Amino acid sequence: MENRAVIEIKNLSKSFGDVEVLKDFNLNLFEGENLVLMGKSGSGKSVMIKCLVGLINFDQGSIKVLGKDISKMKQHELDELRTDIGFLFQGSALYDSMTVRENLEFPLRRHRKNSERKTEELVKEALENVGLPKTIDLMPAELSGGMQRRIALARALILKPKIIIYDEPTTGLDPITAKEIILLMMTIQKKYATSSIIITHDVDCARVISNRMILLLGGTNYAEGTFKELAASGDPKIKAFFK
Amino acid sequence: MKTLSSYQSGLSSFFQEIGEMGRFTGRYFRELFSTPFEFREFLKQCYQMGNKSLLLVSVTGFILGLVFTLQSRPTLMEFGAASWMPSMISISIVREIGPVIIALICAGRIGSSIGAELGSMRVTEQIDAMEVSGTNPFKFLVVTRILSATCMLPILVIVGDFVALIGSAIIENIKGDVSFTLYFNQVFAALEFTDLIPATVKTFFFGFAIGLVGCFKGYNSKKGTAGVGKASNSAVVFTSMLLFVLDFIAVFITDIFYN
Repeated sequence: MENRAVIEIKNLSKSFGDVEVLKDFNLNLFEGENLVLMGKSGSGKSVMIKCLVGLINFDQGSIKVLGKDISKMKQHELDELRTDIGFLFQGSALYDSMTVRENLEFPLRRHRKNSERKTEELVKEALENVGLPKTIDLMPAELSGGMQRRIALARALILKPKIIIYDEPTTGLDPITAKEIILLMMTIQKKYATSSIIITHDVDCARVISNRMILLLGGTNYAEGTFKELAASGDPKIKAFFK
Repeated sequence: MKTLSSYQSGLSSFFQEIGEMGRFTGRYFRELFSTPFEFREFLKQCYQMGNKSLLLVSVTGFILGLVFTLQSRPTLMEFGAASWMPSMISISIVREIGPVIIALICAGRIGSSIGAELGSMRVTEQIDAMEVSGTNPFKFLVVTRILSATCMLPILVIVGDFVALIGSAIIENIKGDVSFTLYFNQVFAALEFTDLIPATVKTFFFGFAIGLVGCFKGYNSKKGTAGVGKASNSAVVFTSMLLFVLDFIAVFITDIFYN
């Protein structure tokens, strides 16, 4: 798995007022790898991924995505880079005033100069990939939570990104739908050879999908290894995650 | 009992918000004149704000014309000045009452809807999703909405004024046997460009204020779903106050130029 690093985070620190959320956090994501990030609520996972996509400015350290330092990028360069990163939000974050079709067309119309026919084809292909071709003209409010998560995944994939970030992809879903989402993530990873960061509290999800895991405690790397290595650890703080 | 320090902190947060709104306005003008322009979204918002407010504005204008005429008639009759009715009504409605009432109605209809929509998009991370997809959410959501409100309000006010005059003409026709032709002849004889132009120009500023405050409150909404309600509510309250301040400034400037 030791391929080229597509994301390199070095000594990342971020504070909000007096609260230090991230302290010298380090991470490397390699090409084709599924990296799972686990940690207690408030341990800085979401802040880290928001720093990674430039939604939050960080205080210290460096973040390189596909070899480019994001802190030195101009806004239009960052927007261009963001087309190589797909982001699945915890609450799906579908645009609720738009239909499923418009949700999927939204990134395409802004970043790809396709004909109407090609755009339609890509939208239909993305919906086929997530197994929901018949929802094309529905509004997000008409879909179940699991369906919304799938459509959000289709939207994240529509520009064929090299990296996908999943923020708690199975949270709030029943176990059967959660399994379906995990299988879908694995299928997509194989089909498009993407590299992924998955933030999750779901041990089953981590076991099935991870090539490597990082445990985040108090805003810094606490432990790193494969699922088997961490699950076999005798450290009570690590064991607590696998109970 | 409130202490002096609580008043000071209240005042300080008020001025802080004014400062933030100033920065927000500056960003609006910078983004307005930079490419690309989200033309489809602008047209969609014009339709949402203009077409969907038309019935409300027309009904309000019609009732305003009816009530204003009914209330004024007895007093003018008492002074033997009933024939002045069309002139008085038209000047009052076109110069002042029409723009202010229609703007207040639109502050409730448009301002609250913008505040709630953007607030809910903020708390459900839709704005973040837009940014992460490489689209500038400020340009897509804020610039288009403020510009649409600025362009649509003058049209809504003109429609509202016209419908109010029709309402007034109906009452004059029923109560005073004044024909529609005579009524509108007197209306057009009384109105001058000096009445129409400042009244129309100020409605652009009213529309801008409605869009700006709604977007500012919604875009910066915090604290979950409670924050959405607060954004929507404070957008209406703050816009309503701002409209009166802007109206006073407009009347003051008009007075300097024309009198």
